[in-house]
Amino acid sequence: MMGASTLAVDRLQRRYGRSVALADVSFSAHGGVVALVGPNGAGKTTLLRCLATVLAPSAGVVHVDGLDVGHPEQRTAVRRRLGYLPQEAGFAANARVFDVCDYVGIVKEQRDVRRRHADVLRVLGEVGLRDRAGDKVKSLSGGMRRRLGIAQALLGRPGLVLLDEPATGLDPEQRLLLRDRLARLGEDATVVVSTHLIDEVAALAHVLHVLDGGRLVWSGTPAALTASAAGRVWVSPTAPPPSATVRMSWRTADGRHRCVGTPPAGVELVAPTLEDAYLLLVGPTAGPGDGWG
Amino acid sequence: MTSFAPLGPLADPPDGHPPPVVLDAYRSLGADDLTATAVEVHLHRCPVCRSAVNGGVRAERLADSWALITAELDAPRRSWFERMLGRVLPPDTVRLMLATPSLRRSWYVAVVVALLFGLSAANPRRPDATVVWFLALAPLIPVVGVALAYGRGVDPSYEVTVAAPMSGLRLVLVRSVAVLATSIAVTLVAALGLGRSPDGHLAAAWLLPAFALSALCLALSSFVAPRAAAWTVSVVWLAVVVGVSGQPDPLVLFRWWGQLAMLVLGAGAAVTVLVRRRAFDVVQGIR
Repeated sequence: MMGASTLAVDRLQRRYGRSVALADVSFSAHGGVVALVGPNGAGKTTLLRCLATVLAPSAGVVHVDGLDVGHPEQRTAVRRRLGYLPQEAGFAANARVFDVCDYVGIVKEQRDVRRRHADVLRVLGEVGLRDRAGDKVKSLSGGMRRRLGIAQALLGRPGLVLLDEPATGLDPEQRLLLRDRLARLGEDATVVVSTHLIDEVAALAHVLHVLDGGRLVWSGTPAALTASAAGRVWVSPTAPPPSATVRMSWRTADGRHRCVGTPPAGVELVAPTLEDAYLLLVGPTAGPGDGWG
Repeated sequence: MTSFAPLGPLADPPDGHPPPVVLDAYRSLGADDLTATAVEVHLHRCPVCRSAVNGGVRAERLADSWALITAELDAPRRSWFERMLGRVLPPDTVRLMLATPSLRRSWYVAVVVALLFGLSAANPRRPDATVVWFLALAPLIPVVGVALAYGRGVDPSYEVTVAAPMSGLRLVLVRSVAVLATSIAVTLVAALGLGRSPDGHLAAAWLLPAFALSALCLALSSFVAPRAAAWTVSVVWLAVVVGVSGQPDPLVLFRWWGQLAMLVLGAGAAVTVLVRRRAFDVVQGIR
């Protein structure tokens, strides 16, 4: 076990041509589960790619245990402490589950074959795929393939684990198991998880960073973000008219409308959820009827 | 770390038992793998030492040993092809090679079809044309294979691989050699079909251009995405071949001076690959 790595991100920028994907992002972490949330295109995947050393920042620095990922020699040392699940991790359909992880073990420089094989079986066991070790990837369901992706990220017991949308394709039971696994992982490693599932964040993350338009717009605990929405969530028996004070509203199962924004006088305020607070931060300013149509 | 050296890892010491310091090291997880294995072999047949360490071995040691044993039992056996290659190459290198995306059955079907197309499209009344078509096409097959061996869009594990500490250049070279060796073997078989033409001795003249263009493709891949590099190399090469085909000797590119030019080009490309090796350590094709 390497122990949790220290991650320090300082004024990180990433541009694609003229488009700015990340602008002056700074945060640090040591141990625990850190969640990155934000709407599509907010820059979560770009940030994770920069942390994973696969994408060079346009400006700013990332340090892992004091090592600069921009420095070629130090980058290799960082990669020895790293486990990474990309958003679009795929594996050759005809490869066997065991062989996929064994291959990753080889490129992770696990040279002792016996220990590498034991590690492969360990990580497959942790995601419930040990009994499928000899099966081909093409025989796995989408959720199982995602679990295989998570398994390879855990090889070598990395001190920094970066997971981009790990819960994609998992059914509710598997998500619960993933939460449990990540919570335990966060005791010995720094785990950075990108997700758009707010309930995952509430159940799992010690710290939350909200990205919007490439900028970090909020950092803190999930409880603190939820508390920031106090007094700004209400329910209404009818759909509120479009207004600059109503950030978002939506019809709920009981037929009433839940609204976030600046409440008008006399409305029924309710306790905010993390999702309410998140929508207040990054949701579009829109009246009823906007959205998917 | 403590070891039995110089007695040899599996030999018993003169008094028949490992020294207490070695047993203590084994108990406290301080012994290296070789020493621990030697102690375990001894313990298997020595009840005296077994009772000496009994109860003193930490649970982690037992769990670790058990994990290694079960891994040996549970790890799926490598395929016969992989085992066969593993007799002449390091097994881990073989595994890296066999993960090459372009080393697939569909790739070789495409290679054969492309070669047949090249041969059949040639004018049977002009044997020269057959040779030109073949020589123009054959060097591009490994180029395409190299481009499809590594990179975004072709290797589903690409980002995972880039984020690993192994040198990107090493992996690219291992895969490129695998593709070159196999595609050249297939193309050599097709080259036998040229034996009857007057220029049949040129059937192997595509080999040096194949190496040079593949090296050029790798060198360009350090600047742009591998597929873009392959396209560029292929288009330029075909343009040159077509341009030269109007000359009195359409095969002039494949005569001795053309081969020399290819050698120089390939050497220059190889140097560029070495100089630009760090470019293979980050995701290519994103600027």
